[in-house]
Amino acid sequence: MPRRKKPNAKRPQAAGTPAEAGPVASTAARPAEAPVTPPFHAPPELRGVDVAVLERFRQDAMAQEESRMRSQRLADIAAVVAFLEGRDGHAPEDPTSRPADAAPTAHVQAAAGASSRSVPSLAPVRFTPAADLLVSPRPPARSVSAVPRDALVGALAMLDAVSLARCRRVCKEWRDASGNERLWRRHCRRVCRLNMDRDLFDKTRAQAKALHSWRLAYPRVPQVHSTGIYVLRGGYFRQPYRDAWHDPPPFLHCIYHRVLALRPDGSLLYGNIPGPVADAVKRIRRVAAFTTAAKATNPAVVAAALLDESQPEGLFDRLVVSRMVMAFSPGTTAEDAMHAALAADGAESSDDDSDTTPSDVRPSRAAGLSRGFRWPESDEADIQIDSLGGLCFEFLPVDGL
Amino acid sequence: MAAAEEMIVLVSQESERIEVSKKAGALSALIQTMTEDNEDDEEVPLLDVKAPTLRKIVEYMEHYKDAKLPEIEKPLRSSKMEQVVPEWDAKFVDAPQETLFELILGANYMDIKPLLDLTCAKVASMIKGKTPEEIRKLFNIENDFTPEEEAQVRDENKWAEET
Repeated sequence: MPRRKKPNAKRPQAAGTPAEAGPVASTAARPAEAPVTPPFHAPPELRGVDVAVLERFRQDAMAQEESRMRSQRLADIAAVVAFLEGRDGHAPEDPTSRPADAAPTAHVQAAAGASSRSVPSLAPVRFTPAADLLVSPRPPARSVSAVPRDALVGALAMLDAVSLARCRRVCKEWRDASGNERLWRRHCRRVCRLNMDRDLFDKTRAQAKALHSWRLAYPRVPQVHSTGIYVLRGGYFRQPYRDAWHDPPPFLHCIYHRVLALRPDGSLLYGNIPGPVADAVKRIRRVAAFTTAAKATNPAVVAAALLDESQPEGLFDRLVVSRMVMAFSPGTTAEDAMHAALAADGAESSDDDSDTTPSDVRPSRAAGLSRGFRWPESDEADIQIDSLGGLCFEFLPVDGL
Repeated sequence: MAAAEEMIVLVSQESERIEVSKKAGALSALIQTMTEDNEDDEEVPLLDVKAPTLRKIVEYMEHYKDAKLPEIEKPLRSSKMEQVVPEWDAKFVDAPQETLFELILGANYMDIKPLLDLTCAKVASMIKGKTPEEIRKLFNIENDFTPEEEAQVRDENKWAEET
């Protein structure tokens, strides 16, 4: 690096060449280096951005590009040297016949300091006006690192939140690019819009403020994660058995919790629980981990695993669980899984306790469920909750319990 | 358009002259600004764009000079470009990585927003659904995290991991 800087500094200032006339010229702190390094192509919207940030990015790009170009430069030098030593009347402008890698003369001068001892014949090379025009500002864009930061962010902006989060693990440059707060704010807004809670975005904004980051706030927004465990709180009104003590009989408001564990392979564990939610969550998490580890996708196997966890309290009603466990083929989306769950739920509600509940009080469970969920396609009218129906479900991310 | 179309001459990095109709050229904010004031001299030097890239960009601009530019839905619904953009667009960006990156740089330099969006969408479609290791392999990116940094990122990312 230091050996290369010396000859660069001696270069005639290239401020007048068109390559440097872009928006970069004003932000580059050391213009003397620019002609032999890839100039940072600052897009219009980056003007006015902190110079230190731009400079750091530019230097990173320089360092990467330099190592890539070094071997090619040596080849160019060799070609020029061969040409100079055997001067035989060729036009001096075209030693390599590779216009895309233009300006081998510039490379020669850049490397002259480094290799002048071994190649004394380079001394007579002079820059002609024609050669100055040939100075190529930018090496070919061989890799994604040549893409300027804002274009990379533009590409990342097209991604869903999970893919974006994964990009953070690729390398430092990508981590910084995919940490862009505007992208995460947009994801937060989007997921909040899918939710029933109208104030959710305001809550999320408050959380983002507290965490100083929309990116960290994003996973805390209640939403369907493909690997999450969810609790639905459901309730319905039900007529108790007639007895002598109450006439007319009161309605009972029954509340139950339904735990859903979405698994990476697209299957869904699903159970009703009369017990405390936290216990049920612990248990379903254990079962989910066990069946995932065992790669159990067969519904019978999963059901057996649920039933075999013979806790004395019997957190899960055996019958319900064995009926509700469902398995979906890999690749099923969480949404499809939920729809299937709803369909099965509707079928189930038609054959149990229908004789004890007046149909005018209790709407079908499936209908209530589909009202409670808010899928992207549903519009405002679909999420009106019938207060009399008493069927109200909410998603609670388990970590927030 | 009865009269012959007004043409602009674009000059590539290698001084190759490539013609584009004025209407198509208007897709590029850079060309538009540069041709706005000097009516007589319709030659636009684009010293940052190489000839093959410039030819491809001109092809794009000529294709969309009359047609309506498609909106790309974000986030991408699929990692298959044909399902996200019109067929012509998908074929247009179905190119080797180097060509694609040159197109991005060219579209960025010439300020052609729809082309930049299209090329960015292509890159995004290549990333979508891949693990960090697969992405590194695809783009030949070196993992430059220290173990501590990697652990921190992994920890923050726990919610997005599948296993």
